[in-house]
Amino acid sequence: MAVESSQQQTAIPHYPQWEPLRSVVSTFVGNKVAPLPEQPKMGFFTDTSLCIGCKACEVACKQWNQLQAKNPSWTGTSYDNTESLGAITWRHVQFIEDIGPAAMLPPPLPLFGKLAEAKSEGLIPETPPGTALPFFNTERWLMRSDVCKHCANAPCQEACPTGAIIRTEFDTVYVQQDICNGCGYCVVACPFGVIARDDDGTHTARKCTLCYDRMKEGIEPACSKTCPTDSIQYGEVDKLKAHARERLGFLQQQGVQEARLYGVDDTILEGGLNSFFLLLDEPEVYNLPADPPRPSNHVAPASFWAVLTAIVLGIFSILFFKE
Amino acid sequence: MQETRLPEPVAASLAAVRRGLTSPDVIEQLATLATGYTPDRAQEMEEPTYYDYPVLQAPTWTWEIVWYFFFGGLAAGCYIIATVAALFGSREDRAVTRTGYYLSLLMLLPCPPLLIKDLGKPERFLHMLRVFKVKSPMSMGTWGLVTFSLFSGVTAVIQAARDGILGKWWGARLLAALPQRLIALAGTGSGLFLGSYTGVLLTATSVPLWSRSKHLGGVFAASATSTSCALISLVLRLTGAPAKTLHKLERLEWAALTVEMVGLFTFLRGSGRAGLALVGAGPGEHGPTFWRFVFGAGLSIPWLLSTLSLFGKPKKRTMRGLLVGLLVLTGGYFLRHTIIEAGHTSSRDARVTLWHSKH
Amino acid sequence: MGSNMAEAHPVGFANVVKAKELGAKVIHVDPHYSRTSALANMYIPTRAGTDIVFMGAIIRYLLENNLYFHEYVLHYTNAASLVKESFRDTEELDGIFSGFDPETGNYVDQGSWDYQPGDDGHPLTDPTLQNPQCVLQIMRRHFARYTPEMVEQVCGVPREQWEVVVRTLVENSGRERTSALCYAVGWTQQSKGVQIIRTAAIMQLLLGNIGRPGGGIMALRGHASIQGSTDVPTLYDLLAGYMPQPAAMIEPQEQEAKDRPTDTTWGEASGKHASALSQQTLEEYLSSSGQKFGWWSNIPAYMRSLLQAWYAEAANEEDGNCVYRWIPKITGDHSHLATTYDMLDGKVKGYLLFGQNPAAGSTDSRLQRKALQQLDWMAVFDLYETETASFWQRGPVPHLDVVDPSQIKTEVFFLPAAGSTEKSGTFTNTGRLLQWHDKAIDPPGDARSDLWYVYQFGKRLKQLYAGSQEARDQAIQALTWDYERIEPEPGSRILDDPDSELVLKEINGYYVYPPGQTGGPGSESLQGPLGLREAPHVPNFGALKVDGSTACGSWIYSGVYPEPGKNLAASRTPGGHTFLQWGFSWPANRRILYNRASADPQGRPWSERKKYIWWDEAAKKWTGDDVPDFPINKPPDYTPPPGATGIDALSGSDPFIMKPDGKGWLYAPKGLRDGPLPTHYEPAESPVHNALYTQQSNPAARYYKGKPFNKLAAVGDENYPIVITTYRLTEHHVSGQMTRWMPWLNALQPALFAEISPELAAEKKIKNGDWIIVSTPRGEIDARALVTRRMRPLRVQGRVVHQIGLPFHWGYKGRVKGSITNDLAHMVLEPNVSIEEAKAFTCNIRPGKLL
Ligand SMILES: Nc1nc2c(c(=O)[nH]1)N[C@H]1C(S)=C(S)[C@@H](COP(=O)(O)OP(=O)(O)OC[C@H]3O[C@@H](n4cnc5c(=O)[nH]c(N)nc54)[C@H](O)[C@@H]3O)O[C@H]1N2
Ligand SMILES: Nc1nc2c(c(=O)[nH]1)N[C@H]1C(S)=C(S)[C@@H](COP(=O)(O)OP(=O)(O)OC[C@H]3O[C@@H](n4cnc5c(=O)[nH]c(N)nc54)[C@H](O)[C@@H]3O)O[C@H]1N2
Ligand code: SF4
Ligand code: SF4
Ligand code: SF4
Ligand code: SF4
Ligand code: SF4
Ligand SMILES: [Mo]
Repeated sequence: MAVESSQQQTAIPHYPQWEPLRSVVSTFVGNKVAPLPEQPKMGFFTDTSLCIGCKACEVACKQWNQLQAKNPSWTGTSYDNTESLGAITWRHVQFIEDIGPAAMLPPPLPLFGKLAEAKSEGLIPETPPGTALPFFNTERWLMRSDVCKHCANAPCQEACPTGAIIRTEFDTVYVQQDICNGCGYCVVACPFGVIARDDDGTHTARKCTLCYDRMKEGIEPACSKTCPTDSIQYGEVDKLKAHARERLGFLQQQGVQEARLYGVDDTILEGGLNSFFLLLDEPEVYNLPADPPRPSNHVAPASFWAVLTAIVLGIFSILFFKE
Repeated sequence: MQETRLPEPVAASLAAVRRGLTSPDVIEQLATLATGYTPDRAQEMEEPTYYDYPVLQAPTWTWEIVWYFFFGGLAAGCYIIATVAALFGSREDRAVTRTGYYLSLLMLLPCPPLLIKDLGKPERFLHMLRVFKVKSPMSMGTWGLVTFSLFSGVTAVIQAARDGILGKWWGARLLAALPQRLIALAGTGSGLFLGSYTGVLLTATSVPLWSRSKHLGGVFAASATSTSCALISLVLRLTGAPAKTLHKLERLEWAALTVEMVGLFTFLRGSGRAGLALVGAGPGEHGPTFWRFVFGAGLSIPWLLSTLSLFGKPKKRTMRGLLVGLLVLTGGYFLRHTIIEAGHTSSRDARVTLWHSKH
Repeated sequence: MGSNMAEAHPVGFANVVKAKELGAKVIHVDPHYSRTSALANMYIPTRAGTDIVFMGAIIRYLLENNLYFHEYVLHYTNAASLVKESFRDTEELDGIFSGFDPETGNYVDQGSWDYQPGDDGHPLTDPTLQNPQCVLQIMRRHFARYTPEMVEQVCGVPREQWEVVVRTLVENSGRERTSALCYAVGWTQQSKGVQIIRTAAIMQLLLGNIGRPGGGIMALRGHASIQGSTDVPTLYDLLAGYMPQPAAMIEPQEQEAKDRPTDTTWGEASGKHASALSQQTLEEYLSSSGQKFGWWSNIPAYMRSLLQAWYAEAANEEDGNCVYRWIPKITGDHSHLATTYDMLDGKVKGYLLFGQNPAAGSTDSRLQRKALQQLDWMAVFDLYETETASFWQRGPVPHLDVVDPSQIKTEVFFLPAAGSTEKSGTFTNTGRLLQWHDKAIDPPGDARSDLWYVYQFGKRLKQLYAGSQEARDQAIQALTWDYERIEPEPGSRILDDPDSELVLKEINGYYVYPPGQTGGPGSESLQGPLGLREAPHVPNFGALKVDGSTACGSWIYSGVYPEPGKNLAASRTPGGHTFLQWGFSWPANRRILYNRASADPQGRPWSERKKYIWWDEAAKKWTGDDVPDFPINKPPDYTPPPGATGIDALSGSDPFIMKPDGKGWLYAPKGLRDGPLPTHYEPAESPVHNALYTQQSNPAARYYKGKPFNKLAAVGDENYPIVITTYRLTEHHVSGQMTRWMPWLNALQPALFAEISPELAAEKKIKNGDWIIVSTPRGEIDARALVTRRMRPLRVQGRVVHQIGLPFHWGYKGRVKGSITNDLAHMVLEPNVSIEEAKAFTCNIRPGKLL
């Protein structure tokens, strides 16, 4: 589903095909391409409380982006045979079976007798009295469609030594396939295991583009467009975040106390995620790191210790040689 | 020949250590000691994860990077030691300078091919130079390597010119007249960078083993020094150098090894549970290799040996020196090897990754 | 219940999710916890094949506690109608009804099930509902033994869980609220499937949930246009628009003793056995298929228009009787599965197979493959070389039956078919909604649309018989058969593809003699007769005439294409409460059938909340959010004058206009082969004895005892103690031919697996991911074990009953292969619709892999 967007439908210039040499030159001479017009920040709100695990998003993504199929292998981990995101898997639906050994009985319903009475007198209450079924049954099969988080401070982008990873005019994180040289640094930088090098295909790093090609034309991404239950919602990040908070309120009011948002506020990676989630359990249950450190923050302390060691050893060596 | 034989108690304890190091229990204990984390398997199994599928992608880096780190460290270390010897050393120490600069360039030669080979798209190596990104150690590292290559090359060429290898024509004379020390001073800066940025590079990732503690840069810097020291003295011992100079190197070696050990333990302490991938004995953990080849053969034995030498008179001690040198070089290689490999293990371990991000 | 809606109908299920967001309570009762259960407010595990007990107990509860919707039940259902004194219920006959003939296994005499006829031909009623022969009282007695204890004993569902369902249903039904039931093949694929659905219908009628917004029983239809295939039918026993296929009496039966009360209420040919109709003439057909009262009284016009569409002018001879003779008469069960047995017996020589894969997809597929070997020839029209098309070449691996091509005489032709995107046409979905789809690209190579094949086939047949003098070939000679495109389709390289809009026009109907002209066929002044191409379209089925002046391919679809250039199936205007401008839903674009019931007998909405169709006194007509399913100007207080027939014989408060009495049938006085009221029988294979009656399983089901490859396990057979059910996965489609060639989908579900509970796994020493062998008396297959808490053992009649579940999407053709689940299933057929019992049978499992 797409939440209404204020994207301008102006013709957006395409990125030029940069040949290596020109790009080296342009590093020094400066970028001569006119900046693209600012657009509202776009992203995803993946609401797992609506996911039915149909995997249509996975297939739609493969289809639109013409990604290779994974080798079929049966895993025995519930209905998930995809296992993880990767170079040719940009959407991945997880299945978590959280079912207790004994069938749990639902809470008793009050006021039932009174209803019968009321009915026989011809008075039907506007809302049924005791219909207090929980919003989800106590036995849970959690499903979540995972995707690139399009982090506001994207470690992959911060790490990339070639500038292949850019932030688009929609504030999404995009890997320019013609620039990436497959150094693999983004792969270890991403705290969510999203981006990966396509060693059997392009040999470059690949991940969800947030369907940049479609966005430029004002078309909703393939996965959210396909999602039958609107578990994946696409739209302006600010609006989506407001909606996510509302949704959380609604669920909690429905008694779904386990519900929580992930990546909506600014704590994760010091800026939040442009593609965020509503979860029905702890993030760890979904293999999501609760509060992953931001790798670029390590540069300073690591350098400090390195320099300190160097100084110590330098002093030693000077002392030893001097004597 | 007597001097090469190890003293009895040392030999005995080494044997015990050898025996011990083959037993997982002992490795577990050492790991606990080093990391300060007592594994509680039951508790760990309680922690939620998603079928233990990795949270992170495995690094794409394998042997090329290990060798690149190794050679890069040597290139930088040799350069720096050579420069220190040139600036502060005696006349005799010139041998160090000369050997150092040559070795530096020699060690540098395999680096670019290794780095390029490691890329998914080697033909796009130059794309590394599209941008200059302070936040990205790899970007900085590439620039550092380029800069250092320049310095290393120029310095070595000057050295060659001065050594008369380039002949006596005017160009060679011009080169020989260049202010090598001044250039080397600047080159040392980039050498320092090259020797330690690799550790910083690993630290600035999401892999728990590499990034939890912030001390890897220091460890790599110390290891660059110790291995370079070992390499230079190895060559000098073989080509013949004054015992005094060699003794200076021995002392530097000892200091570097000491710092490296302190650094390594600080690193492991700081890593805690994340360090197990490197030092533990569990499946996929690299403890056995680490304790045997990095800690045992690569650090403690040479450290013990150089400690012994430290208190002796400056003598040649060729065999012992050669042994120490070889051990340190092997250790230096395995340090990088196990850290890269254990990084793979670490990236696969969902529980550690999740714990790491929470604590 | 009985559907895995989220997995098999994900797009439809999106609406369930939406409803839940708006406060609806979703309850899923199913043997296996599926993706549907995950989204439900409540999930109840039940034993496969026991739904009649679950819902029967609800019916009893509603009746005993007076919790049914009194006004609705009294006015809109047949609760008050009186049933013949001669009727004997299962209560009296221990699990069977009167009229059963144990020898043939049929209810040969269903006369006793009928109403007591009144003077005017309408059934007698007792509005006080006190008469012991009135439907409500009969139901009270019939359902008396369907107690909550029985739910525990038979279904294995704790009483408390069942009670929550009852309460929720009651609270969400009535004037202010409605509840809907969704089902699919979890109910139909049972040896008593039709009766399970009847139970649901009774429950919904008692709660007042039929014909009202948010109510109903939704049959979630299967294949893309399976609904269409019953509307414009491919079924052997139906003509277009649910008119029965004419039947021939196989062996004339002796008239039974005169004292047998077998005359019927509504003009049905009386004194004859229901199972032995003779419909040799059109009159016989119309009198026995039609009805005196209610909408079906229009059948003569619909039938005549159909004959007109097929045979044009020839249909006018002998008032249609001449061409009626050409229409094939059925002599028994010619359904797909029953035919398989005939094939096995060598009675079938040739087989045209359009888009079906019985060698893997049909029940007891091992028997299916054996049967195919008895054919002389078979033509398979398909997108892929299916298991069926290659049955002569290979069999499942590991080999159950070694296939030796030299020993198989069947000559197999493979004809490549076009996929849905490679042709234009309509889909009719679950909501009876016709949606036109345009062709996107030409089919590759020699592939052609099914329409092309059938059309060319017909043309060649006509050529072949053009010169024949034989009377029996007249049917082919006289057939109208011209769907030729005048101009080739732009951009297509296929020049001889027939015009599918022309077919739609025939289905919609047209004026052979345009209206506004006086006279009838044969009269001079007429402009006509006109052929399909030039004739004006009829606007709807109201225009269809019995005099041969109209032609119509399927009356219920009439109105879909009311004028040239106005194909309503292709309309896509969203909006409005009921999206009336989106596609076309038959009949007459009504979205809810029997929607007169959404207003009270006086024509006022039952409540403001549930307002839908009501009587507008000022305008003197029915109005509302939908097209009223009622004569538009018939006031609520209309009472039929004496002697009225047809639709006029129904009052202004009889919403169920297709029924001769205008009532919703709690009790079915006719039409079913296995009884007027639902009765619980155990599945043909069951681990337990029927706790309610001595009669173990459906007496009228067809067991084909003694046929090869169809052995059944005995009741409680220790060798086969585990209940097995089969179902779908979102990732694959039925026999897998449409999905197992697609690598993206194969990666999602690469292999056949069996879902088993941890308890059963422990008992059988099976670990998650192990290979296991599943066996039944029909065969053995292997699969991976998916040990999951989503399956759970049930406590039934004091013992633990394990259930396992298997998807059935694999076979030996495709990019991923696997065992064929249907090699396990048996072929016992439900009596009314001849469907297999793939949802509940018994098996055993052991660790291991077949080699
Ligand atoms: N992805 C996908 N979608 C499909 C199809 C497909 O193959 N793949 N096939 C299409 C076709 S042809 C059809 S007919 C429909 C079928 O649609 P569904 O009937 O929804 O599909 P099944 O998975 O066969 O679901 C049957 C459900 O009934 C349950 N069940 C079995 N026995 C009983 C019982 O005795 N009582 C109750 N209450 N439940 C029972 C099963 O556990 C299962 O969950 O789906 C259509 N949609
Ligand atoms: N155990 C078990 N068995 C079952 C069921 C169950 O629940 N359990 N369900 C049953 C049900 S509900 C059904 S409907 C059957 C379905 O059984 P089948 O109809 O035999 O199964 P499909 O795999 O859908 O076969 C359809 C074939 O049509 C082809 N096809 C697709 N489109 C076209 C087209 O446009 N033209 C032509 N000519 N061919 C086309 C496909 O390639 C495919 O080979 O299976 C039944 N079998
Ligand atoms: S999730 Fe990973 S790949 Fe995606 S933007 Fe963030 S760091 Fe980059
Ligand atoms: S692999 Fe490509 S995108 Fe990733 S950091 Fe390297 S150059 Fe950038
Ligand atoms: S936004 Fe596009 S690229 Fe990203 S997951 Fe969705 S379909 Fe794939
Ligand atoms: S996110 Fe949507 S499309 Fe993806 S599996 Fe869930 S419901 Fe299906
Ligand atoms: S496959 Fe088609 S018909 Fe079935 S749910 Fe999906 S969209 Fe609907
Ligand atoms: Mo079906």
